[in-house]
Amino acid sequence: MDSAPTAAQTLARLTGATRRYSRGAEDVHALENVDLTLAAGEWLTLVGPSGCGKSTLLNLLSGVDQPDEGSVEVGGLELARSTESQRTLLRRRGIGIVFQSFHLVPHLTVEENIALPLALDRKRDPARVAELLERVGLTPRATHFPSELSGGEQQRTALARALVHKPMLVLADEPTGNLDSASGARVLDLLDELRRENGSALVIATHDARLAARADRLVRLADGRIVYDGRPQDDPGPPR
Amino acid sequence: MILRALFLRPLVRAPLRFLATLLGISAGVAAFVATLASNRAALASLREDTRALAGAAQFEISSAALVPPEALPILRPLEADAELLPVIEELVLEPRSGAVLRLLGLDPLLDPRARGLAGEALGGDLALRTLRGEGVWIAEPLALTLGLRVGDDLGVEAHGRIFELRLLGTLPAARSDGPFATTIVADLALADRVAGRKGRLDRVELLARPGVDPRDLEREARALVPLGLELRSTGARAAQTQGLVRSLEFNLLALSGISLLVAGVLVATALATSVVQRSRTLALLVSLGAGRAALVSALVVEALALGLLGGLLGAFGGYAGAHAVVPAMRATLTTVVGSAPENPVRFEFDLVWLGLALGLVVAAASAVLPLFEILRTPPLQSLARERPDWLTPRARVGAVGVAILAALAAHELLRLPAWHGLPIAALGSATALLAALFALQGPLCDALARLAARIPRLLVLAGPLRLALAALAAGRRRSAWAAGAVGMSVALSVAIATLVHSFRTTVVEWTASSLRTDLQVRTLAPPGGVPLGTLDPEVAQICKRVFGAEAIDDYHAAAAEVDGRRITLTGANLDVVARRGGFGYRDGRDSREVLARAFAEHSAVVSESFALQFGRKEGDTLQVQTPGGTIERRIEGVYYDYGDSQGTVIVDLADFQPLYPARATHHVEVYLPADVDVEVARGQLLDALGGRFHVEVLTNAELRTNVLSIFDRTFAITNALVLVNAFVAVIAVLTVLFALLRERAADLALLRALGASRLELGAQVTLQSGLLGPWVPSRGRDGYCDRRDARHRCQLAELRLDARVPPALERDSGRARRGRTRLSRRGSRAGLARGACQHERRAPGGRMKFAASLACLALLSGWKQHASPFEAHFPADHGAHPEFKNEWWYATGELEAAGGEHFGYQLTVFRLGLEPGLPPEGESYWSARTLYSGHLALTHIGARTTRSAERSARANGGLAGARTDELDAWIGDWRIVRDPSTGTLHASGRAREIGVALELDLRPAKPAVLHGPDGLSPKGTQAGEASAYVSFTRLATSGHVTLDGRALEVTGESWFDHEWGSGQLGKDVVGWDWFGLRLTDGRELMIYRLRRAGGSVLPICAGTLVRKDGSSRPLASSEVELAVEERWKSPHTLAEYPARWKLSVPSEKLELHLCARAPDCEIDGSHSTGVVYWEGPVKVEGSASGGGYAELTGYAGSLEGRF
Repeated sequence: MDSAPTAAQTLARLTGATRRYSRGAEDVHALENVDLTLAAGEWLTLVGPSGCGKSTLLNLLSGVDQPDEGSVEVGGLELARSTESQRTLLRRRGIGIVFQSFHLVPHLTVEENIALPLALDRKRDPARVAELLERVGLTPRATHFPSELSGGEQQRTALARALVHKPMLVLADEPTGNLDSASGARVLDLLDELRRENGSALVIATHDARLAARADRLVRLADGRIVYDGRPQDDPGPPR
Repeated sequence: MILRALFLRPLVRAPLRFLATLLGISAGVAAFVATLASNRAALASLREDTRALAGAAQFEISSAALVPPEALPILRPLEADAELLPVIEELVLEPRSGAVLRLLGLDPLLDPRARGLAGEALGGDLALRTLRGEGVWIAEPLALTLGLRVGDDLGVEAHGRIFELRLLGTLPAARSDGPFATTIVADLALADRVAGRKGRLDRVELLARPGVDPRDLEREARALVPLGLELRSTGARAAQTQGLVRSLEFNLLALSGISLLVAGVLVATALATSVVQRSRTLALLVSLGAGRAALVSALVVEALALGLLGGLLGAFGGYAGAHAVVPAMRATLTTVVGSAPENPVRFEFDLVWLGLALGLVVAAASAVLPLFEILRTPPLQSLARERPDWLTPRARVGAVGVAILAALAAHELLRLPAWHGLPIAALGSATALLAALFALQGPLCDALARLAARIPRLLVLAGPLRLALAALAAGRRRSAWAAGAVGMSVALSVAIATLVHSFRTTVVEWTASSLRTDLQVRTLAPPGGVPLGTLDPEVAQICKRVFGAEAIDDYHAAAAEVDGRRITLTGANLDVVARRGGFGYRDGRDSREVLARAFAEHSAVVSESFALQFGRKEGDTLQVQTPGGTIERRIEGVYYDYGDSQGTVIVDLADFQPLYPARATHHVEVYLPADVDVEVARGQLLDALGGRFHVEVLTNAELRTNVLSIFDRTFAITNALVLVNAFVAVIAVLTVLFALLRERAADLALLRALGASRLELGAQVTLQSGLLGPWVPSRGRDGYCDRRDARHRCQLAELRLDARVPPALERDSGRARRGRTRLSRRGSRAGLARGACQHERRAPGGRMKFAASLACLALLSGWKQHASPFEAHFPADHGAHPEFKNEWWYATGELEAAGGEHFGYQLTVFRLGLEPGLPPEGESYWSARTLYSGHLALTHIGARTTRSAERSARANGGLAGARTDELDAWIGDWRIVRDPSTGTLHASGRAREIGVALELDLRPAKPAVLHGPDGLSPKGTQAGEASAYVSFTRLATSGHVTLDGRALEVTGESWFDHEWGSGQLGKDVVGWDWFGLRLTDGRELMIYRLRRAGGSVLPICAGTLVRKDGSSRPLASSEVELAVEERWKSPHTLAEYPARWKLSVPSEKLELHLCARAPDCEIDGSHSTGVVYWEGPVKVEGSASGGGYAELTGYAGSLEGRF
């Protein structure tokens, strides 16, 4: 996990992944028999209506959730057979997450929020943190608290946090959902730029069609199933 | 970073929650520490001080009826192995400050405590004045507090009288900490008078002599201790006091422990809530890969920080709070063990450690709940699916089941009796009830919320209520804990309030029906305390004179035992009380009937607590063990008594007094005829008391008020702890509320966005807090049992704290109103002390360093002077002559053991009169009018060593003395006595500290010789400077000498002197040289010369020649030439003693050389006679040979004016 796989390597694989939730007597199929492969360094966008399983798929990839059927493998680790500690380590070192609602720690400064993944791994790399601060344009705000930042600044902080430890995989759930278009575009540019430098794969769940168009690959989900998997420009759109 | 994210940074930016939690835990710890510290201070004088006061003494002999002086001669054989230290101890009241002080009567001559306290200050003139009881010593700080200087009078109240005690000196602060800080040190006789002991002692302490194994001493003492006296270790009294208050201490600590428990729940709730508040942060960290261990560590650090800081703050806060609490604590404890001198609250580091430990333990235990919260925290992505946390059916049933089991356990525990006097079962019952309450909170919160969810219209009708229930359900576990904390605190408060109120109501009814005296006369009580000591007997006599004996109940009380357990035995005039009646009786009979029968049939009545504790009932026979013997009485009735927890047996006074002959009146109760005005009667009594007595005269109404005020004071500490509980619970509720608010901030903001008003939101919050504890108050009442169930009452009484109406007020007859002596009506108490009260003044008469210094300080007036001629009459003149000031019986000799060892020995008993004539009437038995000293020495001639020991004692209690009709003088177990049938003298004594014992028979070979012309031996050039001096100059000696455990059979020859006089030594005489020589030709020579400063010798009679046939003639100074040929310098004192002489008595054709057989025969009598001198065997050579003894004085300090 310390070195990112090459572009030709498979980074993550879902095989027949199924995830269901019970709501009383009724079962909801969040994902149904999903097969998906992600290559190292690849940008994959997940699109689909609300409730189609985008977030569930992201959760499976991050090891936060486990499939009811099938398997999920990330960075060579079979998540269903792994221990909680192994999955925790995966999230700590191998994965970066960008949330729609930013989710910064309110009592830590911008600088500290960015350094959080390193700190969790008991590492210090002030140069890396400073570099990212610079890259996301927040050096003057390094000692400010999240409540003192705009939405765009918060998300850029979250972005920097997600990449500070050079993860092999970055997961982003509606990263521009709470931003205006200008801020969103800037965040997206930064995300792409930084992850390329790291060689990180990127999986974004989004409604944003423009964002989807920038990806290397688009996967469309409907009712928990993959209905399209291919180049964005070939996407036929949502099924009627 | 996690620590900073979760704990440190939030603490800095939002410190309120942490501070509130810190405050709660500090309050809980402070309550516990304050209870403990104030309890220690209140009990110190009864517990640790008891031990500290005893000093080095290992054992004490005591009795509930006090130790009679007649017991001391029986104990005299113990003197060989131990110093017998008589002690009188009494609590007295200093009226101006209201302080309770301890009067400690010691023998300053003997007691090492006097030496240790006053040190060098207690010497010379002050020593004599202390011994004569002219004044007292107190600690410097106490003198400063009371505004007294040396020479001022310290007024104290005891036995209803004022005593003015002259302050002779102050004890340095460094030597007078601990109990001595509040102790008045006085001579035994003075203490006897103030304490009214009539010669009896509180105890005799045994201080083992060096080298004596205390176990051997104990064995020896047990064999000698007479019936009615008890031998125990000096720590046992403290342990006994500890036993009395153990139950009370337990209850108080249990109460404060509950405060701690509530604080713990507060911490748990607060921590758990804080976890939820930071749930998003926690969830985010989990998402980012933070391990659970790291998150748990952050929580643990927070808990530890709370625990450490809270514990530390609590410890110091508790110490500070203890100062405020200690008066209430003392008030509570005095009702059980009586008043005691005040001890300050001492800061002890173990309290800090305790506070820290308590804080850490509570915090650690409290972290369990929040740990669950942390471990349950999902990653952030899963957090979005948070939904109401309903209890599963299994969990509901389980919780209810636990609650039922706990309630059943509580019920069963309540049936159990106290364990070794401790209400463990009752506490367990209370805890089980609280646990049941706690267990029910979860299902109740859950049920409420579910119920609310099923009422469709609730949201419409009572929106805030619905939302509040939903909020509580959302945080059900935390809400349950918070409700539990509130519940426990409220339950405790309600239970105690109900109990106290009910008990108070009962006491009010009881006092109204049972206290029937019209007037009660008692000693004064210190503020917040109970009356001290007993009344002067004259007070009871005056009451009888004024009202008639038929109106007076002369109440006495003392400790006794039943079945080996301590009870109070009371003696009362049952016939008097029977006319009026008193307490209610268990079997419903009229108290007058019961008491009349008890009087007529010599039976007893017992208190209800006695009956329950000892399992006795009406009609049973019981045996009561007292110092005066065991008595057997039938139980006539069992009476209700709300002031007694130890158990009281009441018998008629006529049965009581023979058992405790020295026991004084505790208080007097007066029953007036119906037509007598109580105030007029009180006035009459006060007039009759004449202002001489410092007593309280209370009317019935005043007495009842007094009982209730004591009751209220007793429960002050309980109420304080309840307040602390309530305070902690309030903080718990506030903390949880704020947390819930923050947790639901988004919900509340949404409601505002949807149009809810501030009022409606406020209602929701209020309901939320109200829902935390609505079902609790009913639980409080469950803890209170039917007061008709006496057993439960007693058990709850135990839990309640053993509140005890003081013995002075527990009688079955009414109490008198508070009264004042005439003077106090006119002015202040200070006026009383210095006004027209007829105060006891000490007739003029501490630790004495040397009796000789006293001799020189004592006046010669009143002592008989010798007038020549003097004729001796035997055997009487072999005995003591108390009309003369000085006297000694002196045996010296040379011995040879069977193995060839040679010894010289000396055994001397000295008598020193301090006061001539007979003691005046009323003077204390212990008044030091005559002192005795003893010297015992053994010189090992071969080893050229001398061992010596000394003793001192006053001639009271038979520990030292001399017969006046025959030769029999003793001090301790050292004795010289003459067998009148054979004329043989017996000299014996053991000195374990030097490993020497003597047991010798001295058979006179010649009749006694009276030295000097006209029967008097001149000791100066002035008339009267002479002594009567009788000697047995040659005694065949046999017996045993024990040296370091070796018993040696010895034979030899001795010389015995007996001399007496008053100030006989010439004024300018600084010392003397004396020789008692036995020549082999059958003659003896007594040679003495008195030296002046500068070395010249008085030109008086130089000695006596005793011929072979026993006839004798005095030797004029002109006949004797004595020249010193050699000297020896003492390495001990650097004094130079003659060691070789040339003695010429030409008229007897004697040219002798005398030589000390061992140079070092210096005897240190500085702690007895005050004289350091040389006394040793000498060898005689020359025109005649022989041996003898020499005595050389004045070489290590002048003897001028001492004899």
